[in-house]
Amino acid sequence: MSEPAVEVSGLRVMYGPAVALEGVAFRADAGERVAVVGPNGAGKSTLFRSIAGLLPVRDGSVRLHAGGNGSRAPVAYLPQRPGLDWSFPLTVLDAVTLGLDLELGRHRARTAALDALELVGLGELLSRRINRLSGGEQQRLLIARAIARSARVLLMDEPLAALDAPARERVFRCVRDLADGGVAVLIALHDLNFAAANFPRVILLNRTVIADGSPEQVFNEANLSRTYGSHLRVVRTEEGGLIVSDMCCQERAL
Amino acid sequence: MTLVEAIGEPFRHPFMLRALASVVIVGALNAIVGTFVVLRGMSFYGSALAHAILPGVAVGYLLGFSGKGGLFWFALLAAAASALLIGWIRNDRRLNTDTAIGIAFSSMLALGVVLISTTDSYSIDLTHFLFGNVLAVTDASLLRTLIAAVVVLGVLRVSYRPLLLVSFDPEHARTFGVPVRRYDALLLALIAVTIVVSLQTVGIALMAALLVTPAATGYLLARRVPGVIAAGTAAALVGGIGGLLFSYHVNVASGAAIVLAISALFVVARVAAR
Repeated sequence: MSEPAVEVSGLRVMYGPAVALEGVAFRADAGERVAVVGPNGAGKSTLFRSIAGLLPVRDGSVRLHAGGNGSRAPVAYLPQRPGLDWSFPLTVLDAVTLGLDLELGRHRARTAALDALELVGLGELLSRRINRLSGGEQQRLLIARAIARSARVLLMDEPLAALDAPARERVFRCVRDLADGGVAVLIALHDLNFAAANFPRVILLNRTVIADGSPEQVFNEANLSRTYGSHLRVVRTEEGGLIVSDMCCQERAL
Repeated sequence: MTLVEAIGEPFRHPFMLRALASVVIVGALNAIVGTFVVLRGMSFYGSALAHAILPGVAVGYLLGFSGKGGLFWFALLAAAASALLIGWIRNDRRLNTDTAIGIAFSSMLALGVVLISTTDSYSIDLTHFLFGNVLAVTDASLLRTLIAAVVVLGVLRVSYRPLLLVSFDPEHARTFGVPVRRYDALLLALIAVTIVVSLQTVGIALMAALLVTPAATGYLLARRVPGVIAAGTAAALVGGIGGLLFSYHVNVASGAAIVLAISALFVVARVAAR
């Protein structure tokens, strides 16, 4: 049986009177690659922030299981819209090292940061000031910062959105390698077809878990209708793949 | 008079030597603390806090604590009261921080002016507080300034990395278990102490220039935070000493001359560092 990395049960999060998440429960094991998909406002970011300890969990529980695969931190989190200031006078290496040095000391933090930056393809830009990075490079820096934590659970909220195709491929290869190394990787995505093609497990979320399983199990019209409304259709390709198609927009285009 | 004489001659006077020591300590302290003020976009807050300590200074003055170091504590109390007032106004989420700072700072300044206006020497006292007088620094106040600077810089040295992290990305800091709010409060306290000890050098009205301009100059010149601190400190010292000498030779107000010299260096950096 696989080792659990994170267990969420009965999670309920409120923003004032509004329910953001209700009765969310799932478990992710070490080495699993999980896509969390759902419409805007479905609670994906809230779920990740709760797991990362950035939102207080009042109802339900989040259990992060320690150790096991040489990981240092229980969880690392890459937010969708980080609240950092890109005009800050830091180099690329500084930005990844900052924080990590509190956990590891300066020397080990620097080594971990260098490794992570190399992985995401920013090894050539170590001494560039961060305000001179392109949008895609900034995103890769943030991904490196999350990877450098060497956490048992890696939460990435829309990490591929600002990336071009080669950078996307490179980052996704990193994600696969991390999962192969025993990290539980949970990624929030909007691109259902990317999730279907690249993730063995998908959690369909709309304030609660609508479905959880392989893309074949999760992506059916009933689940998609409950999550997104009735305009999404599932097409099975001859090669056995899945394509989720937006009928609403196709009709509009016609 | 040669350049060497022009620089050396003024410091044969003990009051100028004390002023020089004060400018060096206060300049370096403001450049270092000011780096965090600029990094966090808190320039308006720093300026407001400087103005908001006037009622504390006024109360201390009216109670006869002037010249005994007592004004320091009254000013610090007023700074703490202003920070609380800003926090209280900001708690109403319909108002943003700028509005809260604007209201707190102008009302505290008005309170200070009202209190000082009850004295017979109203205009002289008010001018002294608003514009400072570095030439009147005593040995005792210099020692107090030095002790306060050592404490502030010591605290900053110990908390430098977490404070930098909190300033750059508070949410990321939280994921490392860094108590963000505690570091925010610590920074506010360090800014308050810095402002209070710098009061005699440039006064309330020009305080923000000392806190913000050297750090902003460093920001233009350096790529990394230690470089910003080093370049900002250099700008504060060169501008501070240059302004002091200028005020001596041309016989103009010393605080304003220091601020003008520091501002001139900023303009040079702005033009040079494109």
